[in-house]
Amino acid sequence: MEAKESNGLKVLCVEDEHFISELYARALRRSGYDVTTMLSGEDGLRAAQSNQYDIILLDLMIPGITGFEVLRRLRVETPDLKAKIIITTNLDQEDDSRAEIEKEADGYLIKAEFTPRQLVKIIDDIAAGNTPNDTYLK
Amino acid sequence: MIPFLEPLKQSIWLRVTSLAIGCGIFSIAVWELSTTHLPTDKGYIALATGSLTLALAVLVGKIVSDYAIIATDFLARAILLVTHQDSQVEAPNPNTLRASKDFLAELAQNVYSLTTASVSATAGQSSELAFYHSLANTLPLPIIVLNKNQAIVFANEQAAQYIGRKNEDIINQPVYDAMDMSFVSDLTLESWITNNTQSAAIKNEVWERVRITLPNETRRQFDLAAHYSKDDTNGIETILVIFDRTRQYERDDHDLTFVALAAHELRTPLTIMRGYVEVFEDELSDHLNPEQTAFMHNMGASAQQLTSFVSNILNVARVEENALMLRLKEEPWKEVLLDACKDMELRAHVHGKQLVYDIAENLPTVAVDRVSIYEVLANLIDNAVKYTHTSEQIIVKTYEKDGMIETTVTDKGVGIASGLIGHVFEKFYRAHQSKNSVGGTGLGLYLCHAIVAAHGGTIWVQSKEGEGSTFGFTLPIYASVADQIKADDNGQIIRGAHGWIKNHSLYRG
Repeated sequence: MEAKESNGLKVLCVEDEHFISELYARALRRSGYDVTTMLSGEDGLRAAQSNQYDIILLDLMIPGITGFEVLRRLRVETPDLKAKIIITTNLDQEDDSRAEIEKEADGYLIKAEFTPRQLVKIIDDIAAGNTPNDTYLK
Repeated sequence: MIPFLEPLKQSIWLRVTSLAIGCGIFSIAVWELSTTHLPTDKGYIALATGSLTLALAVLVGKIVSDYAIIATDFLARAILLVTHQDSQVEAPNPNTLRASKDFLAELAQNVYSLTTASVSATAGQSSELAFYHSLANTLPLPIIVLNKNQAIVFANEQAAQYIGRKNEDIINQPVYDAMDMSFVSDLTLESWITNNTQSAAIKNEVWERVRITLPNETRRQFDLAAHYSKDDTNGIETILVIFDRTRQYERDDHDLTFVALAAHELRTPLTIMRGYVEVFEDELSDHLNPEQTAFMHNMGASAQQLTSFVSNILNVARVEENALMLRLKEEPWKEVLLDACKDMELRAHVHGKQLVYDIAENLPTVAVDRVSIYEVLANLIDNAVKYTHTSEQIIVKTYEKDGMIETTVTDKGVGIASGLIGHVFEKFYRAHQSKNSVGGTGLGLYLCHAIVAAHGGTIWVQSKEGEGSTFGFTLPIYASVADQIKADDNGQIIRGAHGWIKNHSLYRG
């Protein structure tokens, strides 16, 4: 499969698991996205607040401040954030806290439930303006 | 004589005496009237005669009342003994009745014979009862006896202790109120007894892994044996015997919890492995020869199989903890089905099998949890692949039926023996003949059952040994639950999937 031309969309991937972020970044880049990866919550938050991204993939379990804290602060401190925030996690959240996260985020993905190829499809859909919660997201 | 017969005796005596006195006075009066015309010395004779008559009358009254009371006393003693009204009373003495006894005496004797016979019979019965009672209480097994209304008529000490209730509290109580039981399959105690009342005369049944929650929230697990006998004259209809297995079954559950913890750790590396296999497929496919491509597919299929296995374990652990939550949303069934099957095609393909679809046109949308129903389809198709040893087709069919969407997975594999088919949806159950030849955990179908049930659908199997199996399940059409879904803020219904079937319809969720 040949790599696609750049589509001009910028993705921020906040993920401390190196292999995972490499896989996501590689698959998304081949589909034309411009991908930046960050390893910690602090770096992720700082990058996100620059407000230059269209989509943010945010892991919940990351070093430093947690993904949930990053999400909360982004919503409070950067109300005009243009990016769609998609939570990625392997955690099985308690139902209450998950509902809370789902309210704040634009999508919630369990990492074990999709492959990079499927991630690209999901991101394509979100980029095309489809409501992410309806189809793919648990 | 019994003391309280004294007033009776006295009243008889009094009446006879009064009568005698009356006669005496009357005779004196007559004598007095006649003597007014007679010489006076005869008056003294008359007075003496009157006095003598009076004395005689008193004596006769006493003798008659004494005699009359003997038979009455005899009868009264006999009756008191029979009816247990007075434990102090002595048995009547037949010698008190003289040889010339009349009808009354004979009657009294008969009554007494009857009473003594009856008293000794009662004593015998209660000693027999006491024997069985102590036998039931000595047995180290909880035993519960139900009448035809399924109320408890007897529970031995072990039973009361086991279910954490006081004996006097559970007698006459419906068994389902006294025991909060859950079963692993749809055949619960209640449904079994209900079936029996309609058809069977005598029946026996055994359940494994019955769960009970005690009033103090302790959980116990046991095997339950039941004997049913219709129209028993003693008012006994069902006898339940409990075999406690809490320790053994809890060990299984602990093992499962441990495996689930371990399985969770496999998720990330597995996700990564599948990801890199995909990278190879995407970026190397032009450079690989057909054999290498097949290897890649095998690797991908195996990684995916392992992923399914891990999620089965995790989901069963969640079902056990009542923590598997389903989010039902409106979905186009054809797409959901084909999405799930596409993943399984690779697995079927590397095992030389082919998935064939037969999908009805214009199916209405369904209310479904996409991720969970994926597990159901993955398990059913995986089983079809595993239990088919030839290169037969596996047919996935879906259609509308009775206001539901029914989906079936049919294989021409080894099938299931008719004696085992009723158990396939039970936890840890694996058909015996295949245990050694085909791998598996005995959790897949149990999970499918829990997930389909939580959707409000049913799952079933039809199979013939040696000819193959069809597994089918139904899902609600979206329109039938749309009101509930729309009523929710997030446009979904959240339902818990639990593998345990509550015994009593009252509690069925």
